[in-house]
Amino acid sequence: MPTDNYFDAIVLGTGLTESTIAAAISKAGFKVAHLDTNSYYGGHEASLSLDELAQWADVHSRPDLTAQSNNFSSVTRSETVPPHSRQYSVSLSPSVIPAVGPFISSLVASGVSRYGSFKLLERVAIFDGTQIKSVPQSKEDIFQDKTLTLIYKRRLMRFLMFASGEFELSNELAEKPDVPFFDFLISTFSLSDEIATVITFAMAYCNFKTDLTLPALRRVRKLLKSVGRYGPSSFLVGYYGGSGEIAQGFCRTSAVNRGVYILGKNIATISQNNGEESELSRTYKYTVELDDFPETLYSRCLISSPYHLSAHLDSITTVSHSTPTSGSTQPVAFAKCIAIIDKPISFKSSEHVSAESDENSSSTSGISEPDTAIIVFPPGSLASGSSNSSAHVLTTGPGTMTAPAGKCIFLNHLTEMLSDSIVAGIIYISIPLSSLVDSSPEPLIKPYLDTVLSMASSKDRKTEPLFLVHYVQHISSPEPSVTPANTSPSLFVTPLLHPDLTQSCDEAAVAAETIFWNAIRSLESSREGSERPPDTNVEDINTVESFWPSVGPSDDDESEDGW
Amino acid sequence: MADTASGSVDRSVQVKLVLLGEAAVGKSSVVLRFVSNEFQANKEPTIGAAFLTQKCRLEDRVLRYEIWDTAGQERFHSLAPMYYRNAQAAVVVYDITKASSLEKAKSWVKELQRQANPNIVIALAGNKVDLVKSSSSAGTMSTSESEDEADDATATPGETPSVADGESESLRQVPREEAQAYATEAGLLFFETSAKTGEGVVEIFTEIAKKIPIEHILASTRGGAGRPGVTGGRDGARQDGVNLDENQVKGKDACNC
Repeated sequence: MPTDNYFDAIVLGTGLTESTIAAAISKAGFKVAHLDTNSYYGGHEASLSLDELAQWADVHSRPDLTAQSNNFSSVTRSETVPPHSRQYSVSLSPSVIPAVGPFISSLVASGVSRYGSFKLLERVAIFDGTQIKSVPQSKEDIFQDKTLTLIYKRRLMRFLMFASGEFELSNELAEKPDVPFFDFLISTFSLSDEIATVITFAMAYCNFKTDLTLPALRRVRKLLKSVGRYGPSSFLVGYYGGSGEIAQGFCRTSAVNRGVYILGKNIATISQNNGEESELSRTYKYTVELDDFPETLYSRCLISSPYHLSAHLDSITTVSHSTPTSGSTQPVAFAKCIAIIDKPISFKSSEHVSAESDENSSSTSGISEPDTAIIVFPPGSLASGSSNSSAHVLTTGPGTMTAPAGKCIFLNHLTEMLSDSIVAGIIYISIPLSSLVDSSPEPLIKPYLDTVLSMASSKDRKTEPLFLVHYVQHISSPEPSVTPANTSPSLFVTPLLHPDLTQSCDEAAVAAETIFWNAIRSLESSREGSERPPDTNVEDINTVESFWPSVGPSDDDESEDGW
Repeated sequence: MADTASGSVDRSVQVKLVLLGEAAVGKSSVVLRFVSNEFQANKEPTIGAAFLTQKCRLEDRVLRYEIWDTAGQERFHSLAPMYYRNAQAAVVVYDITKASSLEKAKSWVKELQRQANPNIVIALAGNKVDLVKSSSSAGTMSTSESEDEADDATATPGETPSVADGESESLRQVPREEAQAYATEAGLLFFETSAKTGEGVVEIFTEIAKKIPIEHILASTRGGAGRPGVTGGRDGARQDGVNLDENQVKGKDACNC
């Protein structure tokens, strides 16, 4: 067919945002070609096997940095990759999904939720300087908490009422618009330092003690709204590494709606035609040539991740950098660590939740081993750790299919292990940095890693990671907003996602919807009177009315059980 | 397994089955024949269906196949790992009138062995058998297909076809014996099929059903009581999974089983 390589949109990059956009545009009836230079899906949000992760680390630690690896520096890894590499799904962007929010709405409305599996986050805990304590997940938990005095419970309840309401216009906020959230909690709600710390870092997930009140309050409100939708936790964890797997689901959705997928090919050239040659080239103004690929691809609009763009499109675009919002410290990068362990992380049923009310405890001995947990280290909580930044730790295990469990896994430890009890797990550590460092993130990470590893160790055996990757992930500051060199708005660049544990999924969904509508407007306006290649079907394109069309019969052949 | 017995009456086992094969060998047509007993000549590549479902009765068990089509993602080798995840069965299709499609099928089998669950049941299907035989002989061949027969097929791989079934047999590029020998060697079920006439199609799915370790699947999904449709067939670890669509209005009953 002669029109095979003419597309309405070419999407570059298969990160979460780009994949969502590709699915939505395909579902709206437009023809999409979706490309990635990587041979794996997911871009910066990919889920990788250990072999792939090792390879990723090698590629990104090479000094001759390719454009896309500019986002990563100081990448190091353990030399030996443990066996059964394929049984791991390690996320480059570990994240949890708020049970209420734009991302989960997209998952459900697009039908992509059917491709994935999800479970509730089992535990949120905070390190208070001496020990790890569970963070109450509901008002009931707070009522039952024996360590809080009645007066603090009342104050806390008053704050929670405030935070779940329409606080934007409240007097409390109007009086102190630029106060850091932590100070706001103490001055306005008279909360103790300890409670304010828990709220600031383990409910609002602030990066720094100076993070501002309004955005933090909004995060708390979202969390409070999320409790109870699917269960006691506000967050869900996606199987197989979460975002990377879900990105694949969006890509499949695009593919079943005629999206064409080409992965693992380098982009040779991207050019923008000015339409002088023909009517056709005026409409299909973007030309993409791939190495090792016979066909030239043409499209009416181009949507790209920032890292695919930088190498090719700078010549035809002007990238304008907006200035960061002043007043509070913004992270410019994150120090990150991925550690593979062969023991589950165990939590003592702490005094924070008293023994008789702690029903989550899975064993009678007062020790529980949640498959998924967030552990927050507030600034200054570890003597040798950061005094400015909070550290976020996510641990995942075999229950979310990210690491193997069961028999004969680590044959190299044959002597000491009788297999069945082996449970592997992944520890992700992320520490926001307020200024750039050239040095290795390892010394910064180490105290946090040691603390978490001690939770996986027994008296007689100290757990050492089987595999370690350290790196610094840069937020190319700030989000690039791209204006095409000429006037026609048919080139769109997705913002670089912040690798934020609790916010990145929703951020991707919001960015995807914005760009989706811009692209649709561009496609719809250029459809009128434009020249199309021969035998293109125009009639099957209707006016687009929603981000995700309501599910039609062709989408749910399998809906017998309504799932 | 005491707890599975109680629910066995209407309990169907969910089995994810993935299709693989070169473009235009008739993957979707084979499934369409199986799922709705239809055939469309010059069928467009499948659009819009996430996956199709079809029940398959086997003695006292009911298997519910969840059949995943490649949706064209195989064209440029861009199938996502998600496609293979938890697949308990695969049908690798080639076109008996196109020798290169068998080579492609072999590489898909390798890919399955690399990527998929190690216990996956793989069937090799040589499609378009209607093109090489007169209509009278159609349907007699595959009904008795079984693993036992595979052992009799000792023809040397690569040998030219021994059966000349009229002049149309000249369209055949892949001798049955060659494919059979390969399938035996690689431990695959083997069928020649025609999505057009229906020959051999149902047999693929019944023979796969016989080889699927149903007990194992049931055992690994015990915890999923109450929603076997969701938890069944995927992985054991799904028992405490969350169904995101639970709060949603249920989709309409469009199933074509």
